[in-house]
Amino acid sequence: MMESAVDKEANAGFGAQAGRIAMVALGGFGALLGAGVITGFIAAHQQHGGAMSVRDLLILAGAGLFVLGCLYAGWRAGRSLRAASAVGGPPTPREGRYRLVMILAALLGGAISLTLALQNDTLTGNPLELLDGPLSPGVAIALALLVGVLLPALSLYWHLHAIDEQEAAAYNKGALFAMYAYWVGAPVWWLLWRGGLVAAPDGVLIYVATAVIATVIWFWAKYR
Amino acid sequence: MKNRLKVLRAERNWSQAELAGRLDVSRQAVNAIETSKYDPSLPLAFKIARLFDLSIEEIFDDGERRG
Repeated sequence: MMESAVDKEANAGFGAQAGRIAMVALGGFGALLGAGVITGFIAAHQQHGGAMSVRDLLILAGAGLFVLGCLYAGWRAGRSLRAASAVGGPPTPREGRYRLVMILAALLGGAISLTLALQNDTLTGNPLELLDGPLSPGVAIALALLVGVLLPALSLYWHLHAIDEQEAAAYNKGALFAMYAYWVGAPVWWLLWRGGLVAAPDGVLIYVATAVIATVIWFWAKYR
Repeated sequence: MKNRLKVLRAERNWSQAELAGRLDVSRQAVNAIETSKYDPSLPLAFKIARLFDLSIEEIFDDGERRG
């Protein structure tokens, strides 16, 4: 069975497409993480006072380069993603809705991440504080509304109108793996902690691990 | 599950995108079905069969022969 040139190019692109999407997400996340580190580092330095040492400046310069590198990598991957998506003709109506949701979700995620990076009150330069550092009540409420109201609304539209059954199956597979990882991983950690063998269970870490497992399996099932 | 989707599509000179549009799925889904990485649901299988004016068994082969 001969494959048309367009189909061949499109088929070859599906695996690469997953890599491009992952690179856009990682680029954005890395840039925000780096921005948070810079903000925290400067704030911590201001608290202690005094002039910055050469070492401090080098750290800041390194973090700045990291942010720029992430932004550049994300931008290039995004450009490549757009070009590759055009192969095989214009998007189907469902694909169009899918892209719209993805853009809105990226904007929402970017807004949440940027707020977290800029509003973190502890500001010691520890990047993990972006995930679980204290927030002012106003920012906490605003972010909770974004995550608790806007995100579910967007997700509902995505599930009902944007994805097709192949993606739904991939998503369900990711959710199944993540659910079992949580159901098994969380109590195992909790039991080991009760036995005095490990540190206390970290809810944020468990949440992030669950989300990562769901996303990785979803991507694999969709693009394999 | 093996299927003849790619052959049938080629006979009509449709691209994956065109078939995806007619079935209201993504190109990714058409590709996954053609390469047997994903088996369509019964409603989608019926939709495919109607589109090509064939029965489901004439398009999909689950490897089980009738006696």
